[in-house]
Amino acid sequence: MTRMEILISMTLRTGVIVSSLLVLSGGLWYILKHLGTPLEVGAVNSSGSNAISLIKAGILVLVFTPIARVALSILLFLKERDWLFVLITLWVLVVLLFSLYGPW
Amino acid sequence: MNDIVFSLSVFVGSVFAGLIGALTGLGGGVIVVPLLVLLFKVDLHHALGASLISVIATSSGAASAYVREGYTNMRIGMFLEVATTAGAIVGATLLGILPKHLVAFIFGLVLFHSAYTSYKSRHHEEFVSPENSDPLAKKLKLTGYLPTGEGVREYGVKNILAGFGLMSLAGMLSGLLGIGSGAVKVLAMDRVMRLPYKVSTTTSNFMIGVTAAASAGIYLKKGYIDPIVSFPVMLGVLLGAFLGAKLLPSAPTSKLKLVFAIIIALLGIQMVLEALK
Repeated sequence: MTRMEILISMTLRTGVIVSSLLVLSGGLWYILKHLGTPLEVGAVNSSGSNAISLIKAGILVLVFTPIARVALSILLFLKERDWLFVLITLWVLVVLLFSLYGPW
Repeated sequence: MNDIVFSLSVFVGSVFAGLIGALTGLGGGVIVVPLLVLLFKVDLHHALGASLISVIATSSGAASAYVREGYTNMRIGMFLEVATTAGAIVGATLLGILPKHLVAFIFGLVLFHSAYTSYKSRHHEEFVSPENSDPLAKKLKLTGYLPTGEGVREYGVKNILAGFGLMSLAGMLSGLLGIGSGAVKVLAMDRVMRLPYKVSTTTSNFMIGVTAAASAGIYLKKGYIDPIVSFPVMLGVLLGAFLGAKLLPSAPTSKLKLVFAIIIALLGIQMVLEALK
Protein backbone atom coordinates (compact mmCIF):
# COMPACT_ATOMS: atom_id res chain seq x y z
CA MET A 1 0.00 0.00 0.00
CA THR A 2 1.41 3.38 -0.97
CA ARG A 3 1.22 6.50 1.17
CA MET A 4 -1.10 8.03 -1.38
CA GLU A 5 -3.51 5.11 -1.17
CA ILE A 6 -3.60 5.28 2.62
CA LEU A 7 -4.16 9.06 2.73
CA ILE A 8 -6.85 9.08 0.05
CA SER A 9 -8.65 6.14 1.61
CA MET A 10 -8.52 7.89 4.99
CA THR A 11 -9.91 11.13 3.53
CA LEU A 12 -12.83 9.33 1.91
CA ARG A 13 -13.56 7.33 5.05
CA THR A 14 -13.43 10.40 7.29
CA GLY A 15 -15.77 12.35 5.01
CA VAL A 16 -18.22 9.49 4.85
CA ILE A 17 -18.21 8.90 8.61
CA VAL A 18 -18.57 12.58 9.57
CA SER A 19 -21.38 13.13 7.06
CA SER A 20 -23.27 10.00 8.07
CA LEU A 21 -23.05 10.90 11.78
CA LEU A 22 -24.50 14.35 11.02
CA VAL A 23 -27.22 12.91 8.80
CA LEU A 24 -28.02 10.11 11.25
CA SER A 25 -28.43 12.45 14.23
CA GLY A 26 -30.48 14.92 12.20
CA GLY A 27 -32.63 12.14 10.76
CA LEU A 28 -33.34 10.49 14.12
CA TRP A 29 -34.14 13.87 15.67
CA TYR A 30 -36.55 14.63 12.83
CA ILE A 31 -38.28 11.26 13.11
CA LEU A 32 -38.73 11.53 16.88
CA LYS A 33 -40.19 15.01 16.50
CA HIS A 34 -42.61 13.95 13.78
CA LEU A 35 -43.83 10.65 15.20
CA GLY A 36 -47.09 9.81 13.51
CA THR A 37 -47.42 12.86 11.30
CA PRO A 38 -48.00 12.27 7.60
CA LEU A 39 -45.14 12.67 5.16
CA GLU A 40 -44.63 15.80 3.08
CA VAL A 41 -41.81 15.52 0.59
CA GLY A 42 -40.48 18.86 -0.62
CA ALA A 43 -42.39 20.87 1.96
CA VAL A 44 -39.61 20.91 4.55
CA ASN A 45 -36.97 22.50 2.37
CA SER A 46 -37.86 26.02 3.35
CA SER A 47 -38.53 25.40 7.03
CA GLY A 48 -35.12 25.37 8.71
CA SER A 49 -35.51 23.27 11.84
CA ASN A 50 -32.39 22.14 13.70
CA ALA A 51 -32.87 18.54 12.61
CA ILE A 52 -33.09 19.53 8.96
CA SER A 53 -30.02 21.76 9.29
CA LEU A 54 -28.03 18.82 10.65
CA ILE A 55 -29.06 16.64 7.68
CA LYS A 56 -28.18 19.43 5.24
CA ALA A 57 -24.77 19.89 6.86
CA GLY A 58 -24.13 16.16 6.52
CA ILE A 59 -25.10 16.24 2.84
CA LEU A 60 -22.71 19.14 2.25
CA VAL A 61 -19.86 17.23 3.91
CA LEU A 62 -20.65 14.26 1.66
CA VAL A 63 -20.64 16.42 -1.49
CA PHE A 64 -17.28 17.89 -0.52
CA THR A 65 -15.69 14.51 0.21
CA PRO A 66 -14.72 13.66 -3.41
CA ILE A 67 -13.65 17.29 -3.91
CA ALA A 68 -11.36 17.04 -0.89
CA ARG A 69 -9.97 13.83 -2.37
CA VAL A 70 -9.07 15.62 -5.61
CA ALA A 71 -7.52 18.56 -3.72
CA LEU A 72 -5.45 16.21 -1.58
CA SER A 73 -4.17 14.32 -4.62
CA ILE A 74 -2.86 17.58 -6.11
CA LEU A 75 -0.73 18.06 -2.99
CA LEU A 76 0.47 14.46 -3.05
CA PHE A 77 1.48 14.66 -6.74
CA LEU A 78 3.24 17.98 -6.01
CA LYS A 79 5.25 16.24 -3.32
CA GLU A 80 6.17 13.47 -5.75
CA ARG A 81 7.09 16.11 -8.38
CA ASP A 82 4.80 14.36 -10.83
CA TRP A 83 4.02 17.54 -12.77
CA LEU A 84 1.77 15.99 -15.40
CA PHE A 85 -0.52 14.58 -12.72
CA VAL A 86 -0.41 17.84 -10.79
CA LEU A 87 -1.85 19.47 -13.92
CA ILE A 88 -4.37 16.68 -14.45
CA THR A 89 -5.76 16.82 -10.91
CA LEU A 90 -5.66 20.62 -10.89
CA TRP A 91 -7.80 20.68 -14.04
CA VAL A 92 -10.31 18.32 -12.45
CA LEU A 93 -10.51 20.49 -9.31
CA VAL A 94 -11.02 23.68 -11.35
CA VAL A 95 -13.81 22.10 -13.40
CA LEU A 96 -15.41 20.72 -10.24
CA LEU A 97 -15.42 24.07 -8.49
CA PHE A 98 -16.61 25.78 -11.66
CA SER A 99 -19.59 23.45 -11.97
CA LEU A 100 -20.35 23.73 -8.25
CA TYR A 101 -20.36 27.51 -8.17
CA GLY A 102 -20.91 28.02 -11.89
CA PRO A 103 -23.39 30.25 -13.66
CA TRP A 104 -26.56 28.59 -12.41
CA MET B 1 -47.46 6.63 4.86
CA ASN B 2 -45.90 8.25 7.91
CA ASP B 3 -42.31 9.33 8.30
CA ILE B 4 -40.94 6.32 10.15
CA VAL B 5 -42.38 3.77 7.74
CA PHE B 6 -41.20 5.82 4.77
CA SER B 7 -37.68 6.34 6.16
CA LEU B 8 -37.27 2.71 7.16
CA SER B 9 -38.48 1.26 3.86
CA VAL B 10 -36.41 3.69 1.82
CA PHE B 11 -33.42 2.81 4.02
CA VAL B 12 -33.83 -0.93 3.37
CA GLY B 13 -34.20 -0.43 -0.38
CA SER B 14 -31.16 1.82 -0.38
CA VAL B 15 -28.99 -0.82 1.32
CA PHE B 16 -29.67 -3.02 -1.70
CA ALA B 17 -28.96 -0.12 -4.10
CA GLY B 18 -25.61 0.60 -2.41
CA LEU B 19 -24.65 -3.07 -2.47
CA ILE B 20 -25.35 -3.45 -6.20
CA GLY B 21 -23.86 -0.03 -6.95
CA ALA B 22 -20.59 -0.83 -5.19
CA LEU B 23 -20.27 -4.28 -6.79
CA THR B 24 -20.98 -3.14 -10.36
CA GLY B 25 -19.22 0.25 -10.35
CA LEU B 26 -22.46 1.91 -11.49
CA GLY B 27 -23.34 3.73 -8.27
CA GLY B 28 -26.61 3.38 -6.39
CA GLY B 29 -28.58 5.73 -8.66
CA VAL B 30 -29.62 3.05 -11.15
CA ILE B 31 -31.77 1.47 -8.45
CA VAL B 32 -32.58 4.48 -6.24
CA VAL B 33 -34.45 6.43 -8.94
CA PRO B 34 -36.94 3.71 -9.99
CA LEU B 35 -37.30 2.66 -6.34
CA LEU B 36 -38.27 6.15 -5.18
CA VAL B 37 -40.41 7.04 -8.18
CA LEU B 38 -42.29 3.76 -8.71
CA LEU B 39 -42.53 2.39 -5.19
CA PHE B 40 -42.63 5.48 -3.00
CA LYS B 41 -44.21 7.97 -5.43
CA VAL B 42 -41.50 10.56 -4.89
CA ASP B 43 -41.48 13.04 -7.79
CA LEU B 44 -38.70 12.66 -10.34
CA HIS B 45 -36.73 15.77 -9.39
CA HIS B 46 -36.39 14.82 -5.74
CA ALA B 47 -35.65 11.23 -6.77
CA LEU B 48 -32.83 12.43 -9.05
CA GLY B 49 -31.49 14.60 -6.23
CA ALA B 50 -31.45 11.65 -3.82
CA SER B 51 -29.89 9.52 -6.55
CA LEU B 52 -27.06 12.02 -6.91
CA ILE B 53 -26.43 11.78 -3.16
CA SER B 54 -26.52 7.98 -3.39
CA VAL B 55 -23.88 8.00 -6.15
CA ILE B 56 -21.51 10.14 -4.08
CA ALA B 57 -22.15 7.96 -1.02
CA THR B 58 -21.58 4.66 -2.87
CA SER B 59 -18.49 6.03 -4.56
CA SER B 60 -16.82 7.44 -1.45
CA GLY B 61 -17.91 4.64 0.87
CA ALA B 62 -16.77 1.77 -1.34
CA ALA B 63 -13.69 3.56 -2.69
CA SER B 64 -12.26 4.00 0.79
CA ALA B 65 -12.02 0.18 0.90
CA TYR B 66 -11.17 -0.50 -2.77
CA VAL B 67 -8.30 2.00 -2.81
CA ARG B 68 -6.80 0.49 0.34
CA GLU B 69 -7.12 -3.07 -0.96
CA GLY B 70 -5.38 -2.15 -4.22
CA TYR B 71 -8.24 -2.74 -6.67
CA THR B 72 -8.71 0.86 -7.80
CA ASN B 73 -6.19 2.18 -10.31
CA MET B 74 -6.18 5.76 -9.07
CA ARG B 75 -3.82 7.09 -11.76
CA ILE B 76 -6.08 5.80 -14.52
CA GLY B 77 -9.12 7.15 -12.67
CA MET B 78 -7.66 10.62 -12.28
CA PHE B 79 -6.34 10.67 -15.85
CA LEU B 80 -9.77 9.76 -17.21
CA GLU B 81 -11.52 12.30 -14.97
CA VAL B 82 -10.01 14.95 -17.26
CA ALA B 83 -12.09 13.49 -20.09
CA THR B 84 -15.30 13.00 -18.10
CA THR B 85 -15.26 16.52 -16.64
CA ALA B 86 -14.52 18.09 -20.04
CA GLY B 87 -17.26 15.94 -21.57
CA ALA B 88 -19.73 17.00 -18.87
CA ILE B 89 -19.20 20.67 -19.76
CA VAL B 90 -19.71 19.94 -23.45
CA GLY B 91 -22.80 17.86 -22.61
CA ALA B 92 -24.30 20.68 -20.55
CA THR B 93 -23.78 23.16 -23.39
CA LEU B 94 -25.34 20.73 -25.88
CA LEU B 95 -28.45 20.55 -23.70
CA GLY B 96 -31.26 21.82 -25.88
CA ILE B 97 -29.20 21.54 -29.08
CA LEU B 98 -28.89 17.77 -29.39
CA PRO B 99 -32.22 15.91 -29.51
CA LYS B 100 -32.32 14.36 -26.03
CA HIS B 101 -34.81 11.65 -27.00
CA LEU B 102 -32.69 10.41 -29.87
CA VAL B 103 -29.57 10.33 -27.69
CA ALA B 104 -31.43 8.39 -24.99
CA PHE B 105 -32.75 5.94 -27.58
CA ILE B 106 -29.34 5.25 -29.14
CA PHE B 107 -27.74 4.98 -25.71
CA GLY B 108 -30.46 2.50 -24.70
CA LEU B 109 -29.67 0.30 -27.72
CA VAL B 110 -25.94 0.49 -26.95
CA LEU B 111 -26.69 -0.66 -23.41
CA PHE B 112 -28.72 -3.65 -24.63
CA HIS B 113 -25.86 -4.68 -26.88
CA SER B 114 -23.32 -4.24 -24.08
CA ALA B 115 -25.49 -6.22 -21.68
CA TYR B 116 -25.57 -9.06 -24.19
CA THR B 117 -21.80 -9.08 -24.83
CA SER B 118 -21.05 -8.78 -21.10
CA TYR B 119 -23.30 -11.76 -20.45
CA LYS B 120 -21.72 -13.81 -23.24
CA SER B 121 -18.14 -13.09 -22.20
CA ARG B 122 -18.72 -13.52 -18.48
CA HIS B 123 -16.54 -16.64 -18.12
CA HIS B 124 -13.69 -15.17 -20.07
CA GLU B 125 -11.01 -12.96 -18.60
CA GLU B 126 -7.39 -12.50 -19.55
CA PHE B 127 -5.03 -9.81 -18.37
CA VAL B 128 -3.06 -7.70 -20.81
CA SER B 129 0.59 -8.23 -19.92
CA PRO B 130 2.46 -5.03 -19.03
CA GLU B 131 4.86 -5.56 -21.98
CA ASN B 132 1.91 -5.47 -24.40
CA SER B 133 0.58 -2.22 -22.99
CA ASP B 134 -0.16 0.88 -25.01
CA PRO B 135 3.19 2.78 -25.19
CA LEU B 136 1.43 5.72 -23.56
CA ALA B 137 0.82 3.59 -20.47
CA LYS B 138 4.52 3.57 -19.62
CA LYS B 139 4.83 7.32 -19.92
CA LEU B 140 1.84 7.93 -17.71
CA LYS B 141 2.63 4.98 -15.39
CA LEU B 142 -0.84 3.52 -15.76
CA THR B 143 -0.12 -0.20 -15.38
CA GLY B 144 -0.91 -1.66 -11.99
CA TYR B 145 -1.11 -4.59 -9.61
CA LEU B 146 -4.25 -6.45 -8.63
CA PRO B 147 -4.91 -8.88 -5.78
CA THR B 148 -6.35 -12.15 -7.16
CA GLY B 149 -7.04 -15.60 -5.80
CA GLU B 150 -3.55 -16.62 -6.95
CA GLY B 151 -1.73 -13.69 -5.37
CA VAL B 152 -0.92 -10.22 -6.67
CA ARG B 153 -0.72 -9.95 -10.47
CA GLU B 154 0.59 -7.19 -12.68
CA TYR B 155 -1.60 -5.96 -15.55
CA GLY B 156 -1.23 -3.67 -18.54
CA VAL B 157 -3.53 -1.25 -20.38
CA LYS B 158 -4.53 -1.03 -24.05
CA ASN B 159 -5.98 1.75 -26.26
CA ILE B 160 -5.59 4.62 -23.85
CA LEU B 161 -6.63 7.34 -26.31
CA ALA B 162 -9.75 5.45 -27.41
CA GLY B 163 -10.66 4.96 -23.75
CA PHE B 164 -10.09 8.65 -23.13
CA GLY B 165 -12.43 9.49 -26.03
CA LEU B 166 -15.15 7.18 -24.73
CA MET B 167 -14.80 8.76 -21.29
CA SER B 168 -15.53 12.18 -22.81
CA LEU B 169 -18.64 10.61 -24.27
CA ALA B 170 -19.51 9.24 -20.80
CA GLY B 171 -19.19 12.74 -19.40
CA MET B 172 -21.33 14.18 -22.18
CA LEU B 173 -24.03 11.59 -21.62
CA SER B 174 -24.16 12.28 -17.89
CA GLY B 175 -24.32 16.01 -18.60
CA LEU B 176 -27.08 15.46 -21.15
CA LEU B 177 -29.13 12.62 -19.69
CA GLY B 178 -28.37 12.93 -15.98
CA ILE B 179 -27.58 9.23 -15.54
CA GLY B 180 -25.75 6.34 -17.07
CA SER B 181 -22.18 7.54 -16.97
CA GLY B 182 -21.02 4.65 -14.78
CA ALA B 183 -22.02 2.11 -17.41
CA VAL B 184 -19.93 3.77 -20.13
CA LYS B 185 -17.01 4.10 -17.70
CA VAL B 186 -16.98 0.40 -16.87
CA LEU B 187 -17.41 -0.59 -20.53
CA ALA B 188 -14.63 1.74 -21.72
CA MET B 189 -12.15 0.40 -19.19
CA ASP B 190 -13.17 -3.25 -19.48
CA ARG B 191 -13.76 -3.54 -23.24
CA VAL B 192 -11.56 -0.88 -24.80
CA MET B 193 -8.69 -0.45 -22.37
CA ARG B 194 -8.74 -4.17 -21.49
CA LEU B 195 -8.31 -3.63 -17.78
CA PRO B 196 -9.11 -6.53 -15.43
CA TYR B 197 -12.85 -6.48 -14.68
CA LYS B 198 -12.55 -5.68 -10.96
CA VAL B 199 -10.13 -2.85 -11.75
CA SER B 200 -12.66 -1.42 -14.24
CA THR B 201 -15.59 -1.51 -11.82
CA THR B 202 -13.70 -0.21 -8.78
CA THR B 203 -12.02 2.55 -10.80
CA SER B 204 -15.42 3.54 -12.23
CA ASN B 205 -16.73 3.56 -8.67
CA PHE B 206 -13.82 5.82 -7.69
CA MET B 207 -14.62 8.27 -10.52
CA ILE B 208 -18.41 8.57 -10.34
CA GLY B 209 -18.27 10.48 -7.03
CA VAL B 210 -16.42 13.31 -8.77
CA THR B 211 -18.84 13.31 -11.72
CA ALA B 212 -21.80 13.46 -9.34
CA ALA B 213 -20.25 16.13 -7.10
CA ALA B 214 -19.90 18.32 -10.21
CA SER B 215 -23.67 18.27 -10.71
CA ALA B 216 -24.46 18.72 -7.01
CA GLY B 217 -24.21 22.52 -7.17
CA ILE B 218 -27.08 22.95 -9.56
CA TYR B 219 -29.20 20.31 -7.78
CA LEU B 220 -28.70 21.94 -4.39
CA LYS B 221 -29.51 25.34 -5.79
CA LYS B 222 -32.73 24.13 -7.39
CA GLY B 223 -33.77 22.42 -4.14
CA TYR B 224 -33.89 18.94 -5.70
CA ILE B 225 -31.92 17.45 -2.82
CA ASP B 226 -34.64 17.02 -0.21
CA PRO B 227 -33.23 16.28 3.27
CA ILE B 228 -36.14 14.02 4.24
CA VAL B 229 -35.82 11.83 1.15
CA SER B 230 -32.03 11.97 1.10
CA PHE B 231 -31.24 10.97 4.66
CA PRO B 232 -32.51 7.36 4.61
CA VAL B 233 -31.15 6.98 1.06
CA MET B 234 -27.70 8.15 2.05
CA LEU B 235 -27.45 6.04 5.21
CA GLY B 236 -28.81 2.94 3.51
CA VAL B 237 -26.62 3.27 0.46
CA LEU B 238 -23.52 3.73 2.63
CA LEU B 239 -24.24 0.57 4.58
CA GLY B 240 -24.83 -1.29 1.32
CA ALA B 241 -21.63 0.10 -0.20
CA PHE B 242 -19.57 -1.10 2.78
CA LEU B 243 -21.15 -4.55 2.50
CA GLY B 244 -20.46 -4.59 -1.25
CA ALA B 245 -16.83 -3.63 -0.70
CA LYS B 246 -16.52 -6.53 1.77
CA LEU B 247 -18.01 -8.97 -0.77
CA LEU B 248 -16.06 -7.89 -3.86
CA PRO B 249 -12.69 -9.55 -3.14
CA SER B 250 -14.20 -13.04 -2.94
CA ALA B 251 -16.93 -12.51 -5.56
CA PRO B 252 -16.24 -14.43 -8.81
CA THR B 253 -15.89 -12.15 -11.84
CA SER B 254 -18.45 -14.17 -13.83
CA LYS B 255 -21.15 -13.46 -11.20
CA LEU B 256 -20.26 -9.77 -11.10
CA LYS B 257 -20.50 -9.57 -14.90
CA LEU B 258 -23.89 -11.27 -14.80
CA VAL B 259 -25.24 -8.72 -12.29
CA PHE B 260 -23.71 -5.91 -14.37
CA ALA B 261 -25.37 -7.23 -17.54
CA ILE B 262 -28.79 -7.39 -15.85
CA ILE B 263 -28.48 -3.88 -14.41
CA ILE B 264 -27.36 -2.23 -17.67
CA ALA B 265 -30.14 -4.04 -19.53
CA LEU B 266 -32.60 -2.49 -17.05
CA LEU B 267 -30.91 0.86 -17.57
CA GLY B 268 -31.32 0.34 -21.33
CA ILE B 269 -35.06 -0.22 -20.87
CA GLN B 270 -35.22 2.94 -18.73
CA MET B 271 -33.47 4.89 -21.52
CA VAL B 272 -35.67 3.58 -24.34
CA LEU B 273 -38.83 4.30 -22.32
CA GLU B 274 -37.52 7.79 -21.63
CA ALA B 275 -36.94 8.25 -25.37
CA LEU B 276 -40.43 7.10 -26.33
CA LYS B 277 -42.15 9.33 -23.77
